[in-house]
Amino acid sequence: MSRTITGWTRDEMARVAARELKDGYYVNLGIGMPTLVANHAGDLDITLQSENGMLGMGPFPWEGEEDADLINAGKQTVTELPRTAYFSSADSFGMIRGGHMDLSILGAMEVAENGDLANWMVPGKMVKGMGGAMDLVAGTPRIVVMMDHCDKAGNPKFIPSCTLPLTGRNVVDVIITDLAIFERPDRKGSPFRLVEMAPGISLDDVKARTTAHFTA
Amino acid sequence: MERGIVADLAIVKAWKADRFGNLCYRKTARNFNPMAATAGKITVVEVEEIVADGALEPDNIHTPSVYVQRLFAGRFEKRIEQRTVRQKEAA
Repeated sequence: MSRTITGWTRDEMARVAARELKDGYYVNLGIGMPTLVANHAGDLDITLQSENGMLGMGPFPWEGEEDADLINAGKQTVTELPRTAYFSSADSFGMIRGGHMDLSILGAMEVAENGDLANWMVPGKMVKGMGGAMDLVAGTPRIVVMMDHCDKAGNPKFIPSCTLPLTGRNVVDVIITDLAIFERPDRKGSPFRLVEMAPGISLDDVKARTTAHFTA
Repeated sequence: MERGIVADLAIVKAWKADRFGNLCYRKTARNFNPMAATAGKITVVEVEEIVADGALEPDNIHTPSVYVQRLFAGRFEKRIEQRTVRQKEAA
């Protein structure tokens, strides 16, 4: 970790992640950075699901038009669309578990080289709750993780095996960090492959900040 | 089989009720309220408005009255935790 490097910004990461969107998809975006992906959907016909109980989530409201009863899973004010449906959170988790989402883009604390994901709690720290993460990774065929390449202390987050409690085993298909994109073709043991790096980032930069095994 | 949760007391917030205790929730405020209502031996419900008989469409009742043992219309300020807005661009 010698030189100081600057990779993609959060918004640039979101633009990269938006390449995963396909016309007609039902998509669940996790709390935080993944929410930004919605800004880059362009002309694609995407239906966003919010796991508190909403399908067809619109953008943030205009100032003055916020509604306390209309929020996403991150408690942010949102809007409804002509296609919107509301339902209970139990129906929402059933929808997710039933495999009706095409894609979910989530944040992560750790991803292991075998695709294990840890993103819900750090032992000893205040836990807000698991949210829909465990259901999403259990029921959704494609899971994309967006995360900083290293934690605030500079430690790698893409590692040989997770140290934190798992959200799911062998569930991550794509990892997008501020430095690089890793992808694997299946969940049957193929290693993650480095498929793209942010401008100005070298393979050595990525290797120096990654302890997980990956192919280049 | 996973057995249902039974609670001595369930506390639920809904949007509208009739005097029988039939409930409607509003938008994403439905949340886990319908399940909580079914779990309580005593379910206490606060609503924004108790409406006249027949004012709720029977097809659109989210929680039927059988689950509701106590009902009152509350007076409260509706707070927003994360106010996120778009700014109107100057035309």
